[in-house]
Amino acid sequence: MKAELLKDCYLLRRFWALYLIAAAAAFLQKPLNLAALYAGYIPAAIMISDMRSGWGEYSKILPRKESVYALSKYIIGAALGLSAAVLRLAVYALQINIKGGSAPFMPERIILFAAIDILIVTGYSAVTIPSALAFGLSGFGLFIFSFSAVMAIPLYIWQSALYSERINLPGEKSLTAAAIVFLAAVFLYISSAALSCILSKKHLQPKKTSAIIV
Amino acid sequence: MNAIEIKNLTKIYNDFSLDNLSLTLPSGCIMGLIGENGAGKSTTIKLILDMINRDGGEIKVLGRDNKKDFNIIKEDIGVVPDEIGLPEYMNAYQVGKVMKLCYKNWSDEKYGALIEKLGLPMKKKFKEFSKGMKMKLGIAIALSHDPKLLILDEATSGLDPVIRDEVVGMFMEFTRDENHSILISSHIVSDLEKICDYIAFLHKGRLMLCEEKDVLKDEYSFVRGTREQILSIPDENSIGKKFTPYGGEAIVRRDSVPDGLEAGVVDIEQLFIFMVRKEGETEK
Repeated sequence: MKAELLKDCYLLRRFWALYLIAAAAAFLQKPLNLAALYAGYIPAAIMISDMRSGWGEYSKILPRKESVYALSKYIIGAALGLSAAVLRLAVYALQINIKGGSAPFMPERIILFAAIDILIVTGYSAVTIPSALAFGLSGFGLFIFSFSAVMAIPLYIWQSALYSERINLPGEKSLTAAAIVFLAAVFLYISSAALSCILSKKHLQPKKTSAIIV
Repeated sequence: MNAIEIKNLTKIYNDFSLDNLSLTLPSGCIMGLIGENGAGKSTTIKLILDMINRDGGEIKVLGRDNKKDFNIIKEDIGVVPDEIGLPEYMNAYQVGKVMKLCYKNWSDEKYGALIEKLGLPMKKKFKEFSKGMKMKLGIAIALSHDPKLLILDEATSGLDPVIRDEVVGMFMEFTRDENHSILISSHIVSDLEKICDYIAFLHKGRLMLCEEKDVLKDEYSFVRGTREQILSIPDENSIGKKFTPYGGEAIVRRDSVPDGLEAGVVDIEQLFIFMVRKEGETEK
């Protein structure tokens, strides 16, 4: 697992520049955390990069379990989800300091925003990682990638409504909603990881294909 | 102990099948798998490494069943596949760090020395490597974790002659330890002839011959003569015959060289070509 994680971290470096740009956009006080949206794409992008380079095939000769191939991407995704949430909180804290102590909205709501950020990252990864394993890089796999990105739109609308206070949630309800969103993200993520472990075993185990390999 | 034992190995595809293959690679030896494109060399290697499912037979690697205990055995096997699928955005230094976490016996010193010996850059991205450089990196990885068995699929192809010679030397050095063995497939028969103790000929998924190289060289001779002289050699005494406008050539059993013809030393490439040609004529 450590080896796969280290390899994924090396690949992660490719995405830092865009992630930082997306993070900088978060400082523009828009409700949608672009960093979260981009971070959700990264784990599956690493997997696609692995598939393109033939790492999945090559790693069959290494002494390790097949499941680490997928699990490592989930660990990266979880770390990115948390970083997006931390970023949201950091921006909020900065806003308070810059505006001399006046918060743009109550702290409970920012916790809900952070939970939604985690849901965006983990939700996108939870759909794209198993579909990359199941369908590969083309056809239906690419459709799911695009479709999953579209699925973030309702979350964005919800965040916008909360942000502009068109939906008015009192502090206590915001915290309850944050807890529900967070638990949903965790449940979705764990279920997806379990599915991906099964799929990666199939993906990496000896093939029963009748393709000619000579 | 045998490094590899294969019994009645069968793999069936739509238009190709590996047919009842049995061979044994004793410890401390180098076996060369020779065969034309599509003969089944890579299929055999993939089956040994359990990368594809077999339809029948049994494979033991370093004394263990390759289906049941393969994760344990992998620590002791160095593999250089025909495609080195390392991540494109990593360099040799990063690859070394990753492999160190994969293998218990990984040696940074050995890896560093091999990278230097093979003239590879430490900081260049893998995607910028030439095919030969990729192969060299694969060889460095395979040798840096103290394996007992090396499995090489066309590992010397893509290398220039000087480096190829150096790599072949490294393989010979590797088998100086009597517990070390190598299974190598290559199109470049001259490389195999240099290093192999055993030669296995594969043709259309069938093992035509598996024998000690020295026995093959002792047993057969290459003869050249007039068309009539070559035609006079009984078929059962020859591996194959070839005719040109100037006469003919044949590979015959050393004890059956006709009078008046000089017995020359046979090389493995000639032997293989004549065998395949004879097989083709028989099929017709």
